[in-house]
Amino acid sequence: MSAPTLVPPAGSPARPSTGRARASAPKDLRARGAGRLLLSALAATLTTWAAVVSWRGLTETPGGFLRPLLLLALVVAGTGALARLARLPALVVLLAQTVVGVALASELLIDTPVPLGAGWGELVRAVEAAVATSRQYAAPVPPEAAPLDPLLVGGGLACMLLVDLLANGVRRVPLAGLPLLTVYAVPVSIVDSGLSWWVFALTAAGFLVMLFLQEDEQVARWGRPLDERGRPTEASDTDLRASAALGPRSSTSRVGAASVGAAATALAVLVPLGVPTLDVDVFSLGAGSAGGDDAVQIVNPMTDLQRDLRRGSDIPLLEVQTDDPDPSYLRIAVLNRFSSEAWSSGDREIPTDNLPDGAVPALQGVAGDVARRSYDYDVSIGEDFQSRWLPTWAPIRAIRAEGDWRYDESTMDFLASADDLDTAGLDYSMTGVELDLSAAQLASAPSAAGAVSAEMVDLPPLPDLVRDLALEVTAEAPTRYAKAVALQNWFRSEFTYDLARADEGNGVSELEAFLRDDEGGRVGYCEQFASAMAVMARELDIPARVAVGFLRPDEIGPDRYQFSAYDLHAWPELFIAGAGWVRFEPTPADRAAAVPDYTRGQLDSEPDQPSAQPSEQSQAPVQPDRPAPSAEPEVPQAQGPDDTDTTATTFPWAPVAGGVGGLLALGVLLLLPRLLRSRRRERWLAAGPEGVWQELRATALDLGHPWPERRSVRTAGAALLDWYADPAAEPVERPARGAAAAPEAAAATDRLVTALERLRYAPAGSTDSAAASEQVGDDGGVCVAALLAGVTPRQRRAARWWPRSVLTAGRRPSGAQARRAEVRATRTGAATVDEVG
Amino acid sequence: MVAPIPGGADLETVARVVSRVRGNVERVIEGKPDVVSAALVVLLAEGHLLIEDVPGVGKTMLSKALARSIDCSVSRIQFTPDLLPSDVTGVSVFNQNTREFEFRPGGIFANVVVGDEINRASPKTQSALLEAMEERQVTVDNATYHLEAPFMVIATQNPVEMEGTYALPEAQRDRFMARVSMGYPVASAEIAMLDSHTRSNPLDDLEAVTDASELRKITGIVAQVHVAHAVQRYAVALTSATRTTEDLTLGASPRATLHLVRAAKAYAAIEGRDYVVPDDLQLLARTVLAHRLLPSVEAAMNGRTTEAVLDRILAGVPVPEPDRA
Repeated sequence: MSAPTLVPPAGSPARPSTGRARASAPKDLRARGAGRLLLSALAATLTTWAAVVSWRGLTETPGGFLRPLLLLALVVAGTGALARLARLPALVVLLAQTVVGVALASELLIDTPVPLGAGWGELVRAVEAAVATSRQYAAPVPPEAAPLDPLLVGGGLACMLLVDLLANGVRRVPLAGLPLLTVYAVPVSIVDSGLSWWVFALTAAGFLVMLFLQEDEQVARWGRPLDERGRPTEASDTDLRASAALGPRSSTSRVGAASVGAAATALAVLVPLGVPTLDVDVFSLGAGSAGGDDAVQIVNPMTDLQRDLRRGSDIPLLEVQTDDPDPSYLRIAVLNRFSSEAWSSGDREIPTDNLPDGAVPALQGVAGDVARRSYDYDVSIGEDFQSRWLPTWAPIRAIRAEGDWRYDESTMDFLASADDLDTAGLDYSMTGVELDLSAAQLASAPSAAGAVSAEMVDLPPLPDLVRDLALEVTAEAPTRYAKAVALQNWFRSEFTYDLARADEGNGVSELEAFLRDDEGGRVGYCEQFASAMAVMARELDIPARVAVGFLRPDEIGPDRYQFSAYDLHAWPELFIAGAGWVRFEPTPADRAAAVPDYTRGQLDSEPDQPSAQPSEQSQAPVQPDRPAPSAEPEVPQAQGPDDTDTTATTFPWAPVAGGVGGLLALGVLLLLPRLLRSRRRERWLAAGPEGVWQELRATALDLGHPWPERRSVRTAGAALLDWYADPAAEPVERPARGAAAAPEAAAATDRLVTALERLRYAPAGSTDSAAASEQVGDDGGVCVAALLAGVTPRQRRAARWWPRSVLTAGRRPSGAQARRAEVRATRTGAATVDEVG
Repeated sequence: MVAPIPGGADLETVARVVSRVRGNVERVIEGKPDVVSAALVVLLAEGHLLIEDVPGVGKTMLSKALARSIDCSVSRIQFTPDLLPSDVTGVSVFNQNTREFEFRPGGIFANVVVGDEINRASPKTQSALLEAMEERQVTVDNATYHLEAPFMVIATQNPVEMEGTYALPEAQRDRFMARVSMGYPVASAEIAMLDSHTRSNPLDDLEAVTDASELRKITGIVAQVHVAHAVQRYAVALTSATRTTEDLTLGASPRATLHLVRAAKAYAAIEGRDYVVPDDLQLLARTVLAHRLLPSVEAAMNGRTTEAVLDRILAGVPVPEPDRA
């Protein structure tokens, strides 16, 4: 026998090498730190960029600001990482980023990196032009207008700097969510096309990465990783970084964090698809197209009813208790101003004492001799209806409502004055007035000149077609009232109501398309009818405005009515001296079955042959113009479900399909781990001792047992014995466990351990026959059954549906990986000790 | 866990011999199966055994019983402070008749050498054992004499705190494959001992159950036991860990690694396996490594013994994954 050599073999270092490893540590740390700093900075700026992508609906040329901002994101991140690597104070870092960012932005926008002197003037001009564009145009801004880019790039850059400062300067990543949210909220309140789900997903993912990076570092600082018995491992302090990077905590937590983050983002995107909700936005623009139902503030109501009418389901919004037999036409807001793009509410005077706390001023422009009746209304609004405008009947005599609602005397609509005020859950009461107007009285009305503001006949430049048509239709009408009725009847007879085919919007171009008597023309929905009639009335110098509100409720009990989303409607109001603002109904009978009584008189008297041409309006019941639920079905269209238009009453396929699809996707997601796991089990149990062992390990992990990782086969085998129970026993909450409880499984484990040891450590050539490997598979099955019997039914279910071995880092490191780690450890002088765990 | 093994006939021989020797020794040493096992492992691995404990717990009895069980030459050296190196190795004496120097072999020339109370001798005499133990040869007056196989030194010593003892130098401790402590017997074993040992000396009744040639054969079989690459890596990882941990000032030598693997082979053969598993190394690490390690001052002050440090290393060093070719 030879004497062993006393020279250490190559690769097994003597102690002094530890010193060398320590000396080189700061350099490694620096390199790692640089990478990490850059990663964090990139995460912050690119996440902001992803959020800014949501602004692309603001202009038709989004590349104009997205490309510069992407470059800025990279440069700002790089500058920040470099400055932080040099350990500069946070403010200096911010300053450096600002200087570099502004210089680059200036170069990109006005071709000079120093915005001073002439450059400054140019920059100011560019910004002013952008501001002017933003005032002049509605989103998206067309390419021919002065670009918004200076504003958007500036805003995006500011957000980037803020997010980076919060996330990496003061290390408060959660706070950085606020500027991101702000960025994301901008288009919600401006763009009416909604936001894409993927922008949200991208931003959310970026934000989660930022959170992960910070928390990961935080966790790594806590201290040594523990082994499976909860004791600190052998790793000395100098090895901490290495073990933090290599240890299972890191990889497991990464996978775990990624799973949680991905699941949360997916749920946030998918769940709204399956849950149809109506938030606020009866008239707002916010609701996303793909389920991105973000909360929206309604500041400026537009007659964008189409979306709500097309909503997949009809959602009850408010209920009213009243003695009024026909509580139709509940008005929400009045739109005074017609610009070339749209009707808007115009300027309002809302003095602080115009509160809904009792009587309101006398009816505007109504002669004292007009007969009138009063009705009381008690309104209670549901949580789903969050309007910034308070629905009221018009006209009213008194109203009492909680909250800082203010009215403008000229329009008598109520606007929320406090920022957080809306109608959700509000209960209030009012006394409405019904004027007993007659056709004769209206026809003899004097001129309204000077009675109302000149704004009410104000029009932008319009195509001649509008005026020509207005004159043509009303050529034979002698009075204002007669002209109005002629217009109303013209719309109701010559036009088609079709929500599905209607264009969106109510601007000049839509108006022209709507009025034109050609292919695709003369089809629209209430918004366009109301808008067109009001515009044409103004052309005839009749003061006119558009009202938005609810058409007609469902009676749900004695004197109790319910308004829902499908009841939303728009109609014109024309001012007629002595009668005030008088409501007309140009929308055809498909939607609005009846016209106001006072307009019917005119119809009866003038053509005077109602029976000859039984038009739709003449079919409508004469006495109560709103059919009671018990009324006989004289007008089939009007008796349709919910009294709404035909397109909207069809089955809401889109949300249902979306919901079913979402549920299916969710189901597949839920089933996936289980399927994956059972496939693995099948495969592993047939794969010889190593496979069976893999399966036992996975099962133990699924059941929440602390599998002794990187221990010997026997150690793990002994641990297994403690978790066994008799599979034949009745399932109980606390099964008796141990080798004695399941002797068969214990013996099978012994055989497995021997087989596996033989496979791993015995000389080659002594492996077993096929019969033996079959035996191994059977033994594996017995062991798995005993393991499953050893836990509570609840844990068993959890293991079946949510197998951790699939979700966490499921694979054990391969032999090659382990060897590499070993070599690495040996090189750094830390030997194998830092691989513990 | 005994399993059928290809070529199991050889291993059966090992098992038969081991069980005979074990039975023999256990007739004298009662209630100490671990100690007896360790002694048998060292015997089969051709190492040397150091038995350390307080006086009177059966150290000498164990070594003698082991020696008697084998039909081979046995010598016993009682180490005392005045024992000289030549008493161990032998001396050349001038023969008046032949008028030549002739070599008188010392106590070391035997198959089994029982060195009693080895730490009572002076370091000079202790070191005389060094060459013989490691190289299995003795050099006196420029002449080298080889020692016959099997050769095993079973040394006993009192703990160093005892009066009149000299601590064994590190180099010599490293040459012992294993160190065992006898420990006090449990009460029942002590009572049984009273019964058997008071009538007559049980050692006298012991008969040899094997002989030197059979022993040579089974040590040959043990040497054939397979050590997989992964197990080798594990052994190296364990000993390297003792060198880098801050709790030890002196880690295990490469010779310790070799001893560990050889002991593991012997243990595996006794267990009826023709391959070593990592658990064998874990099981033997304390016995084979502990006496070679020196705890750091910090560890000693914190009350951490070398055994405790070894346990932490065993718990910490991962078992290497096997090679999958």
